[in-house]
This record gives sequence, structure tokens and C-alpha cells, in this order.
Amino acid sequence: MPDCYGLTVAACESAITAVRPDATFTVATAASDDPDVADGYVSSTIPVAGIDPAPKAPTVDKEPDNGQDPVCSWVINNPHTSSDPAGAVDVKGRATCNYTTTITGSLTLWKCDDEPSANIASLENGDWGCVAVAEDPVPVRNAIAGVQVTYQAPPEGGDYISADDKWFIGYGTLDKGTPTTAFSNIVQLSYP
Amino acid sequence: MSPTSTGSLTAESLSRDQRAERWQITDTVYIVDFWRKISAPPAADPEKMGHQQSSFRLSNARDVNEVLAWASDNAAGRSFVVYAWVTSGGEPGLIQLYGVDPTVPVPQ
Repeated sequence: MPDCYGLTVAACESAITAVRPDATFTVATAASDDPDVADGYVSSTIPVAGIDPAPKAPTVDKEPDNGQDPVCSWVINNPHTSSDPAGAVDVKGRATCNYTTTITGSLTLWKCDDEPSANIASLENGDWGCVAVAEDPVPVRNAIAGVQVTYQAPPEGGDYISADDKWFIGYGTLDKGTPTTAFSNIVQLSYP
Repeated sequence: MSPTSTGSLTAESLSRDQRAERWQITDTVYIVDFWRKISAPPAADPEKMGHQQSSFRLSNARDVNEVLAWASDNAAGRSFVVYAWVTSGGEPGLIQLYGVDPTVPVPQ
């Protein structure tokens, strides 16, 4: 029997009938504690997937729509310097989710010769002399409900990014973020 | 005792069961971040300057009052944020106790 976990009901039924053409189905709506199963998708089957022989009339449980998909606030802090290492620049992005879930994000620190605007296409085009100087290398994180997950660019032990009186802006994406893309404020940094 | 409020702060009386806990740390390690606004170089706009962070780890403090006193004594005009430093699941993390990180954008 196919593994239907996370599939749509239609896809699950199609997969089952591919191996058992005369199968019929009962679709039940049942709440699940699994936050990784989106509303309306299959959370379990009876009998459990992988057990043969495939029954003629399996039951498919469908996650009900409770209007509470995992969502995460997504904020990019302003880039700043540190005193140790002296003058090193970094930026942090913070995701706070309402469910315990897995998130996928990215965080990039941009360094510019002139004051930029918060426009990712222009940044990637090199406008204002902007260069992506650091990024967080770990995109996938486990988020606990209500606990901030910190992304950092550069990460601990990463490259030294000097301030040089240049302009900096952080840009991040988060798959379950609200919003899914965000900028920091634009700041000029120097180190005495 | 009924709930009381001061501004956005709300205080609620807890029953013994509501006060239940599974773990506690008493030898708390603190992190103190000092923040200062970077002085603008000539012809630069002071309003667009970022911040510089200086971080310290404090151990063997009697309580958070001693940490706050140390931070005040060493602030030299800088703002500061105090955290409890904890490890959970092998990963370090911070619990904010005092102050506001000035690099967090203010919602418009």
C-alpha cells in the first residue's frame, strides 16, 4: 500500500487504486497533532501504509482545516558592529513560530558603497556597489513554538566583515514567515 | 488576589499547580550587551548610523540585581540588555531579562 502521509486525498486514492483498482475509500476528517501535515492533506491511513495486502476498503484520515497553519514572525535586525573581533559586522534574523515545526530560511548581509534601497533585484544587480558579503549557511532549523530561532550572517566562526564606513542591509527569506521576505533597516557602519 | 495591571503588564495569582516546574537553574550565567550609536563620520547623517555591540559574560552573580548594578557601573553612557544564558538540546540560547536591543526594527 502506498505511503500517503502528506499527500492530498486525491493523490492518495490514485496511488492506492494504481495497485488495487477495485479499492473503495472512506475519507474521515480527524484532528492531528502533527504540525507538518497541512490542512486538507492526509495524516494517516488505516491500515498503516506499507502493510500488505492492500485492503479493498481502506480508511483515509484527512487533516481538518482549523485555520491555524504554522506561521512565524520574521524580523531582520539591523546590521551592527562588534567590539570583539573589533569592528566585525554581522546581522541577525529572528523567526518566532506559533507551532513547533521545521522552517527553511536564508539570511544575507549586503555591503554597499552608496546608500542602497531595499530592493533585492537591484542589490543582486550590484547597484550602489552592493555585494553579498555573508550568509547563514544553515537554512533548515527546528523551531519550538514561541521560541525565537536566530539566523546570523556571517555565522559564528565565519568571515570577518569590516565596516569601512560602508552601508549595510540584511535580507532574509523564510518559508513559513510572515512576511516570507524581509529587509533590515539600512545603516552606515564604521569602527574607530 | 485578583489580577492587576500596570500599563501592558498583567499580574495574575497562580495556584500551586499552575506554579509547577520541571527544572530550574540557580547558578545563572548572564550575558550583558552594551550598545552605543556609532558616531557619524564627516558629512554622514547621524540618524542613519548603526550600532556597536560589546558583550560580556557574567558568572557567580548573587542575583540579577548585582548584574544590573555591574552593567550600570560599566555602561559609560551606553544602553545595555541583560540576558540569562542557557543551553537547551546542546544549543546556546538567551532569555531576555532587561533592556531592549536597539538593532530590532521598530514596527512602523
